Amino acid sequence: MKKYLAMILSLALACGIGAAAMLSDTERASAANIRSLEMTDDFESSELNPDAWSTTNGVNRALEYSALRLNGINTWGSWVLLQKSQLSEEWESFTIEMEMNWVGSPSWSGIFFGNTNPNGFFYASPSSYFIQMHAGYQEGDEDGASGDRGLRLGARDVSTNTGFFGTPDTTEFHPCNITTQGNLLAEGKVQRVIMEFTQKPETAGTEDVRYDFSFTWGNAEDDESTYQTIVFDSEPHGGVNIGGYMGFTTYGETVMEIRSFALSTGTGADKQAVFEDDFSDTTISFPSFTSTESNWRGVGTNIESRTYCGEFCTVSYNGVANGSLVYNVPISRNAASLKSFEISYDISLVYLTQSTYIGSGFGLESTASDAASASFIGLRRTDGGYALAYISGGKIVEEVAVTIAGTSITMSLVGYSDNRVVVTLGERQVTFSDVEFDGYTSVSAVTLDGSAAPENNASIDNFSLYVYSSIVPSGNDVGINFQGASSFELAGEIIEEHYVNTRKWVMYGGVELPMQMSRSYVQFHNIGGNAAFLSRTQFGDHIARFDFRPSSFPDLSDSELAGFGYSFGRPMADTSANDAPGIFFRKNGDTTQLIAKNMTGQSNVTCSLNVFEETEEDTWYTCMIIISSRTVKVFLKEASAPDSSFGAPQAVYTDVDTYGYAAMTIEPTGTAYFYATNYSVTNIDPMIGREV
Amino acid sequence: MTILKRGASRILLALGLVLSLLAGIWMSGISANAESLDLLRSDFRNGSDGWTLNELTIASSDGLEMLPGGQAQTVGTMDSLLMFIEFGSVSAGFTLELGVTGEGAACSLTFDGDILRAEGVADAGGENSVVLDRIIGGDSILKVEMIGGYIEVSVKNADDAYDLLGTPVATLYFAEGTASREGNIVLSQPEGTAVIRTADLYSLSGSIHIDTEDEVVEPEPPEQPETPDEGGLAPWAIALIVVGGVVVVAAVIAAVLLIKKKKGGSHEENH
Repeated sequence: MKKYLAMILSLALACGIGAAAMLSDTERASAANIRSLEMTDDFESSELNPDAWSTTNGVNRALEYSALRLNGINTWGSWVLLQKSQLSEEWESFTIEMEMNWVGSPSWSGIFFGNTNPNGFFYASPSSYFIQMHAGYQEGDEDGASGDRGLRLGARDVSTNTGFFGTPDTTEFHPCNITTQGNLLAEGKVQRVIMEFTQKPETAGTEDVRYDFSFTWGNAEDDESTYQTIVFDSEPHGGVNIGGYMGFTTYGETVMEIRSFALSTGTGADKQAVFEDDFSDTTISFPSFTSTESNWRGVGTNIESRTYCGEFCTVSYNGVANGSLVYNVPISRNAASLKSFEISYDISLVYLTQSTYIGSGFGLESTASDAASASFIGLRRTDGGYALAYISGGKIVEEVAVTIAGTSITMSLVGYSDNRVVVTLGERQVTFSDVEFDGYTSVSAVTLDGSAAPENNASIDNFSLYVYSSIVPSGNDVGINFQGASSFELAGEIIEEHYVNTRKWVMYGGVELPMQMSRSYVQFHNIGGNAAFLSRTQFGDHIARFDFRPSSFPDLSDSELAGFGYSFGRPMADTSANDAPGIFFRKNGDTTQLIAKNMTGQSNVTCSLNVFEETEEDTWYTCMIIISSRTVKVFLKEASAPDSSFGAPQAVYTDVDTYGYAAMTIEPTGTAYFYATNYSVTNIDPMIGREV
Repeated sequence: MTILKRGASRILLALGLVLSLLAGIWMSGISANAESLDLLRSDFRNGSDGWTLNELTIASSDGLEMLPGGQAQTVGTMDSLLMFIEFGSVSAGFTLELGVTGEGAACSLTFDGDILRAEGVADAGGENSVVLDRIIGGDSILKVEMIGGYIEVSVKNADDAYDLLGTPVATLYFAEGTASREGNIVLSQPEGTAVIRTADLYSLSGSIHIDTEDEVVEPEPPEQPETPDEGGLAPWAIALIVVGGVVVVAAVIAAVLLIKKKKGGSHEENH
């Protein structure tokens, strides 16, 4: 009997092992760690989202102000105009008064006048004028060159068709240190701006009605007698045309707010209101839903995310001694990842007190738990500055003095798998150890003696939470040498053509296989936009290899040629190369630049080889990318050279989200001319076959 | 009947062994090329395919037990490589030799507590001995990356995050004019014991073998009467059904034999 049992057991074991082997091929566990946005909230909706947040002891959303905010437009041809009321050349004089504020480090902002068509680009309108408020690049620049600090008035130059700041420069420039004189373009203090326009009498009744105008500004809370004024009345313009629409634009990441706007006829005390807006209940439309009835109009490339109009709210802790805003989903330590979470929010420092800390609670057992009795890291005011403390179980574990400038600070907290929490306040970093953060997290007010803190009027804004999670990739090793063939019969003849197994591979965006069977490569030739060749599987840690070379390309400038390279960590198979980590070989004169996208490290490196160099025989290059433990190394050599010529990596990037689809692809910034072959992806995850 | 039963048992036993062998080979992921390896994924808990064991054996289901005097050597060779070794228990030093040929090793690394002693390579200051921030212990993973003229060593301990394998604890360099070379990889244990659960080796050669995949035109299946369900079964489902069927048949055989045995026993008792 024992013999039979042994036989049966061995058979069952063999079958079990066989089945396990079969399944293990598709169910490999992995340690690929990805960072994903769990929650972001600017608290601008009409109430706190009850699905996301719970509050205790009176913590609640609070209205701070209303504004029209140009939110770091950072794109060409995006602007906002006043649609409700055009400026009329029949007015002898008129005034525009605004309260304005700039956030962060602005570059320049502009106000334009005289745009005759609401959809027409003010830059191309022949009668428009543009006043540029420029923060400048260097202290002391006063020569009027573009980029200098000051106010510049430019007119559309119809004769040269070069826009406002053409060559020769025809702008009227008034150098002034606008960041210190009245703080225009400086963050923190709301500015009052008064622009008064007076018609030049000699132009009245003519076709070319012109106005002199003055630009006055100062801190909104200060007396007007302290304000600065610049009068624009000199050549070359001799006044401005203002008939038509006026509006605003910004450059780059500049964030500009207009908190109140008033247009009146007349100047000084003798004014009559034409249009006023405090932005508390105003209307704005965008190209995606154009309305001629809205007060304001986002035009050109403007979209909702680039311009916000309405209320700006925070979460207020006014009068709260101990109370919390608790995120309704608990967070936990991820042992497989170096980091477990990243939390960030802005703290208003103006009303921070010495008795009450404002900061993050961790390890709360429920959404009603007291942050002080769990783990808490928070900021309070001191006699000489501020103090950051780690409080656990109601007692201060550690408190350090910190120096903070300005009226608000962004507090960032990063939780690590070894229970460290690193807090960043500006350029200062403080590390607290042994912080228990498994449980609910909060932004809380904590007063240790428990007394009421009626003077506390602190608030927080712009909350974000990223979490790190571990992924199980399905990516088995793949490789293709583009030598595969398929055949079919045509008119009695057997025709051969290249074959790619489309159950394994995806090819899109104009990527093609050559007609000639002797050419064993894939072509990214004379195509632009998003184009890629990729496996249908997803990878975390892996080694990617491919051979490539430029194909023949026409005489284009370097900027018109798209780079070729490797994009990975793509959430979707057709994710744009601009939206995922990746490396690209781009022509730059007589060198090849290695361009990195969406990775920490050098974004632009000159390669040790120039893959665009013309050679008698077409030279192929081998690129190998080792992606392991969130670190990316890029190697390059001539394909015919020995492996030892890889040498040191061309570039190394760290802390990269690597999990996702991986593709040979081109930059969607120009036209690509490349061939590629011998493409392989090897899964090197150290946890292959093991549970995380 | 007895002869028939013995014959059946031998066939089934042989089938089981063949299946076990096939499964082991399947899981080991050995490169088709036994000379120069593209990759070698070895789970020593299931065997030592791809390795030659010299005075070492797979002592338990824990993995390969390393003992002084023994060594494990890859059958195939690699030049530049990336390797991950996962340990079970570790009681003392462990030695890894790379690029081993008839002329010896291109370099060797001996991990002994927090000291890494190197031969053939040295740190940036020319030292052959490096103090490590993290030492190899139970449930550690050792990562070694050797390409061109340098070697990076990373260690992840049991409670560490996997991301730490991206932060080297030591970077060592070959002497000017020398570099890694094609050769075997050898594991040995100068003293004490260690258990190696898995060893995954990946070549960092610029090119690896890629099979040409031609289109395979499936022959036209013979016409079948239409059935309501044309979806078919996935391979894994077929495998499960086959395995399940075999297990059920085996269980039935066992039950029948058990009943017969019991009946026979009762009959004898009655006598």
